[in-house]
Amino acid sequence: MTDDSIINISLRLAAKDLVIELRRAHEFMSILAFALTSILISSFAWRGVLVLSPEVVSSTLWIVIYFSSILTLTTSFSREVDRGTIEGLRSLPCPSYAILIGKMLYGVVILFTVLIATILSSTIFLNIRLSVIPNLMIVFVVGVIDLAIVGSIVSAIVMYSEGKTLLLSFLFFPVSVPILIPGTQAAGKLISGMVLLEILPELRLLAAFLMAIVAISILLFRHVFIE
Amino acid sequence: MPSVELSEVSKHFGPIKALDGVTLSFDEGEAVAFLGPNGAGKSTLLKIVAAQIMPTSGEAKVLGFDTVRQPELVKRNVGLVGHGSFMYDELTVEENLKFYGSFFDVSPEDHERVLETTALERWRDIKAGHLSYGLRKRSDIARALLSKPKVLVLDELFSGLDQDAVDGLVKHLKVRRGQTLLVSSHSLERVRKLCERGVYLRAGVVEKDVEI
Repeated sequence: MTDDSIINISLRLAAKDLVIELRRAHEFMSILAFALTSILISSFAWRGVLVLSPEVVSSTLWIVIYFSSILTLTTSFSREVDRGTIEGLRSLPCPSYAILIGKMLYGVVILFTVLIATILSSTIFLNIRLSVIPNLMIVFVVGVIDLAIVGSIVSAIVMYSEGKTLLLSFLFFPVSVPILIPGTQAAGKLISGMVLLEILPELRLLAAFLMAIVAISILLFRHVFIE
Repeated sequence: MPSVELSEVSKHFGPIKALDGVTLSFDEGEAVAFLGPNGAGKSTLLKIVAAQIMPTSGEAKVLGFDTVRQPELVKRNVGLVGHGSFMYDELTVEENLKFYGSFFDVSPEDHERVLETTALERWRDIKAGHLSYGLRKRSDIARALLSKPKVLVLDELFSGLDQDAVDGLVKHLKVRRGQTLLVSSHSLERVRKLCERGVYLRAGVVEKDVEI
């Protein structure tokens, strides 16, 4: 359609990626399997400990989400480059940042699914109280959106490089630190029994980073995307 | 007004001059072949016309729209078939066409028209990853034709295709309606059936611009 809004364009791009992901379900399933086995293995290590340290549980959850986002987002743009379809995306009559937003939405959906599986399994294996889950989800949803955006732009930056998987892993961490520090602290506090109001500073930091990284990504992407 | 206009277009990749001060113009409905050896600048020139890459200097216009300042308007009017396929392996031919077509003003009748023009009706429900090279190329042409572009850019259209497939493609492309056709190829014989003008490129400059 000629008068499409950016969000419609991005949704169509994300839907295309999700359909492809579901038809090649083994990759998505392997990410889910990684998340679930990580939680399970952690529970083996802490077998017999009834009350786990909130900081340990929080960091375990964030490690699982962080590495799941690496697995999800590494291939986000590089797969398009490897198959030549990046030129197809480049031929679309839409602003280049709509393509980035599409990839971000795809990353958010995949990571959100992994997040739900991770949180649910941790109520069983890591003894997280059910009453904590709603507030914990708020922190993780903001964090997952942050990670999806950071991962998408880093994936775009490295898409033409050799050894992009390695590069993404190295570049992703320093840019993710502003997510991981407040994220692990906020989740730890919530698991220890604090209420949402007490983690407002961390939530503000996550939200501020979200706005900053969206603006930077949109400004940067055009230069990355045009060959 | 020419359909496509290039004035003093240069493109440098680091120290390599892929194009060096190319000035050309093509009228509406004209079919032009770009000929020359590997590295002559054929693909670079076509990518600039399709607003896929930006020239280092000079100006490229399609239907009066600048490829750097108005890339979306250029892309709306250009159908591009690149070296490789733009089709997604996991999607069927029809799903691929629907995906790409959703960015243009395309009706269901247009889908049927391109499937018929490219003789792909039989293959519409087959995943692109299962198609042969020739069928994949045809589905890429169907994708490019879908938006009824005023300019059709075909990069190395005939590479890797046997004679039957070439003849089939030529037959489909001959029925274009007033579209400007820009085709790159190594082989004069193959493009002669389709184009009336040949632009010979060598080391990024126009060597010859002749009737073929």
